[in-house]
Amino acid sequence: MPEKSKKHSTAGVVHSISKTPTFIKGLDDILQGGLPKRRTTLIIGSPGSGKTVMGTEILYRGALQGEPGILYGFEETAEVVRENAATMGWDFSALEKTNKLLIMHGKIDSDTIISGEFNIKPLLAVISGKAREIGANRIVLDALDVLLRIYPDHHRVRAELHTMNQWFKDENLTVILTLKPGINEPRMIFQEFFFSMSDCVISLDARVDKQVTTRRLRIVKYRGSGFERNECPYIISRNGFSIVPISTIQLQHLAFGQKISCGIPELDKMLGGGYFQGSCILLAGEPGTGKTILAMTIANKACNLAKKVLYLSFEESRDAVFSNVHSIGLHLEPLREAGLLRFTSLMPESMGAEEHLIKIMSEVEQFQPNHMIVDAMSAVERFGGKQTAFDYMTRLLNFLKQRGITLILTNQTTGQKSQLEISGNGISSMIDLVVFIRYKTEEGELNRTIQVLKSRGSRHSNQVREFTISDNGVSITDVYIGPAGVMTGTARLVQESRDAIYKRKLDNELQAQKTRVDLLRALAAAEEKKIQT
Amino acid sequence: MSKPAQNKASVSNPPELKLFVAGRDTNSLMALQNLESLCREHFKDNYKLEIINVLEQFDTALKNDVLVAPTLIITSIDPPVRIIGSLRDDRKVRYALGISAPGAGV
Repeated sequence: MPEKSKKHSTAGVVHSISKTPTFIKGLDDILQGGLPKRRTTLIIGSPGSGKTVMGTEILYRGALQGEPGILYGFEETAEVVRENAATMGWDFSALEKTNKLLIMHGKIDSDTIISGEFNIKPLLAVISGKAREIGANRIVLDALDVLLRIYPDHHRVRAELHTMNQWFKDENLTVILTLKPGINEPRMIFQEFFFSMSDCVISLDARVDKQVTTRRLRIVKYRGSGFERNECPYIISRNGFSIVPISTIQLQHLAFGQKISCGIPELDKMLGGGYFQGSCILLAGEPGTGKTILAMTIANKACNLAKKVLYLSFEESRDAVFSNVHSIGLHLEPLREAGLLRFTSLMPESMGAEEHLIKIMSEVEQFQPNHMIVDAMSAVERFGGKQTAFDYMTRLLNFLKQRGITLILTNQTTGQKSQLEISGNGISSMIDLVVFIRYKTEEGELNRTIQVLKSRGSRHSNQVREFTISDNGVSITDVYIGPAGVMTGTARLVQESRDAIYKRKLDNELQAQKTRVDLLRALAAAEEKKIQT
Repeated sequence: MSKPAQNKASVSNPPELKLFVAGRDTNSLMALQNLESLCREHFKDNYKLEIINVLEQFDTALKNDVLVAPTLIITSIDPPVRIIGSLRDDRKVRYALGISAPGAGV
């Protein structure tokens, strides 16, 4: 018996119930395979949260895969459903013609006279009759709450729901119900019954936080299956639902690749040969220290090594960045034209965090870069606060690490309490390399020092170096370490020339002493000769 | 809503009725009983009653937008009047059919 052998081969493994995929990207991951097959799923959400879109998309994607489905709506007419689908680019006509999709609308006539008790068996008979006709297994009942309004009390509703549940079970149908949560509506007391009769409950929530709409999806329950328990952000884009699980079930990061040169020989030396492909690099520093320039220098070198770089800027436009680095001798336009460098500029406030994330993820999938630069990570907090920023960064980082893409972050630090900020938004454990640029004031001038604070999996220099930006690009020089500590800039030059003078003085002295020695030797030799003769 | 003037006009013609039932469930049987006794009382045999079992003829239910059973549709009135339920409250049915209950106003 195949079942018995299956049991044997998977001894100790908990069997999950049989599932049917939704074919919606991300949702099947969260549901660990899909919706419970031949059972009832409830999608509950406030108006505008996208319940109907989700129900429709499950049917549409299923139909495309050859799984016929029926949408029975109580709110929108079939025509409206088709029109809404068309805005997503979903063409129902072909699927409807081939009986892969059936859209029905349950008209509830407000003029209907009610006299005595009734039940919804005709509706159930129509649905299961049609399901048999086209061989459909997936049924969406959209806005069931509208139908239930005709019942005078919730005891009747409960009885009806019980009838319905039993009916669909007997018919072996996979049913998806959508429902508005009726918080202020006493009639929604039966909501609890919905929860208990459903094997899977998906809650959709659209809320406005700091003037940005954020949408969250949560699996409230899933009988007989594991599922992602966290809230997952989602957006409804032109192609339908996009959902990203916050935490991946397993961290499947790729191992570091080869070492890559930064394009600055001295920095490569400090890093023991360069940075690793697939690592996460943080370039931290005070405002104006040259983080963007350093990032662009690394990007330039990578492009010259035939690597593709995606640059995401939250602060400046492409033209501004390109002309800035042009002045130090970096010419990025040809690299962009060659398709090696892509520059994306986004206003942090322009959309919610998940929209940002999904947008950038789809760019990554499209462009397939080797490296990605985010300038600056500090701007991510403007999506909606610290927690949002942390979520965004963790998920982006995971996404890139799973693909072996190097992530280079710039982060602005302020003042002296910046030791925490250097590590960046609490994601320090995921950062592999930290380069810190700092100002140093001495002899009335401002100079920059650069140091490597952390470098995972590699030897690195613990020394502070001087970081200079000139018309010829960036360069790193050894600092002067003298009795007064680290010296940079003019102080270093002054000290060095002071040293040179001192050295010259010493040299002169040495020369003088040598001359004296020679003289004495000559005298001694003369004396010796005198004695011998 | 059904208008009394139309209802009155329709009384002279034999009423045409469609009753959608869900097999032999209690409410459906009650509706049939209530309707037949009312009709016999007022129209003798001068009425047309079509009984549709939705469990077998779901297409007819679909065509007539019938979601619940029992549903009575009075098709001889324009627009047709719908009454759902076991027809327990016969005042409403009488009103819809344009027949007044003895001694009871609407």
